Amino acid sequence: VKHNIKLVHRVDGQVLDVRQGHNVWVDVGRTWLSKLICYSSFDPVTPETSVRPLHMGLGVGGLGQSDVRVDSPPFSTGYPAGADPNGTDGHQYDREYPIKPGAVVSTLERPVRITGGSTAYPGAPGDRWLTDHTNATRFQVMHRTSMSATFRALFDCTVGELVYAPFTVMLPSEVGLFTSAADLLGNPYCELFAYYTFDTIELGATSQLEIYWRVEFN
Amino acid sequence: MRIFDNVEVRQNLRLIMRERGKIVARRDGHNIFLNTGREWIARLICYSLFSPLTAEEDSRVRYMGVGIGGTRQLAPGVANSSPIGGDPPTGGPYVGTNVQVDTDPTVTRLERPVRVSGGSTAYPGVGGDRWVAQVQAPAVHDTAVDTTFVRVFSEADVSYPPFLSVPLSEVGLFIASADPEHYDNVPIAYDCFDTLSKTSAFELEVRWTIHIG
Repeated sequence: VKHNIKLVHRVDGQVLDVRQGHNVWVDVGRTWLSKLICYSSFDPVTPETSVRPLHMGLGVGGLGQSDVRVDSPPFSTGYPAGADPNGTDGHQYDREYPIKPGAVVSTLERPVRITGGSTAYPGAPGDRWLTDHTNATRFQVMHRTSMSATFRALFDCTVGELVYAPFTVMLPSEVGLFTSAADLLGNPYCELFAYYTFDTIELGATSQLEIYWRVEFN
Repeated sequence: MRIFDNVEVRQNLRLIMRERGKIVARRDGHNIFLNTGREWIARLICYSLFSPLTAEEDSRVRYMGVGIGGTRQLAPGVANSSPIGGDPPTGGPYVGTNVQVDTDPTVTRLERPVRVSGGSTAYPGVGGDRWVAQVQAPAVHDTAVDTTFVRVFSEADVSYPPFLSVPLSEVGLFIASADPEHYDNVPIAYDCFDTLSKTSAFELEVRWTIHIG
């Protein structure tokens, strides 16, 4: 089995856990790709879209979430279920979604802040929900083969990301890949174009979570 | 082409030959997305620099080109004789073999490209020759995940004097970095088809659909 997403959880620099799986390229992502390959005009030359993958974000929603603590404070107050566009119970997004006609996965189900406060969605304007591409260690692009692209993100709790008061641990169970059209600050429900939910990972203050997201054209 | 098990990119090709608006011949097929295309799209989706945001590859689909190569050339007598592909001393303007198949992703060019407009000299032709033609813009999206590139080769395209009947049998899809005045550009997708003989009485519409499934 080939995997196209890999999550590496390190504690105090040591690898504690590695997860691998297949992401879901959601409808938004398929539409984006169909636009990316063409021009809307040749006079002047104008692409239909020019945005590309630039961020990743984490959440505590998704079918993979199995930790009951996410339904209690401070998670239930800072990241309450039901705020997503489909008004879910917070445990429903999966590769098989939509679970109801016309509903699609277009955001994380219960996104979490990388830095910022703890107020309920939509949070504060300065809250950061996505990896910061201006920090070279937080988001990178690489080609392991000429026909693939790998996007790498790093969430570093040792410098106060994700795990900060009142969140003494973070319990991510979903991740999204976002383009440069997403807002870096102040918007928890940016549109994503690829999604993956996984069994809960418990991050502490000494944790680092590294995610490799590979897109291969074979 | 598949993006693992999540996104499948399928291509479909339709060629329609018309005479005064009436369909006289049609070919439907599944073309192949070449390795060059797979490498192109892997670069296209990436930034190479985040500040300022700089795309690693910014050329999109812009051209189509046709040829008389490929294994499905059914009129070798025409393709290999004067004025198209034969006769000494020059060997003809479009001389070549017909061994290329549309199941081989390593294809890197049309086997025997023909000019859309220009002269009649042998490869590589002369300045001013046009070897590929621009597709229509905007592209057609019949659904949100389908992109169709359309080019209508007019009556005067390809089959101009001295080429009264050109037995077309291959077609390629090219990105904007291709040079229209260069005869062997690298396509991203390719197809061979049973010969369609293009004359100045016919226009040829090519509809190339890429489906993101």
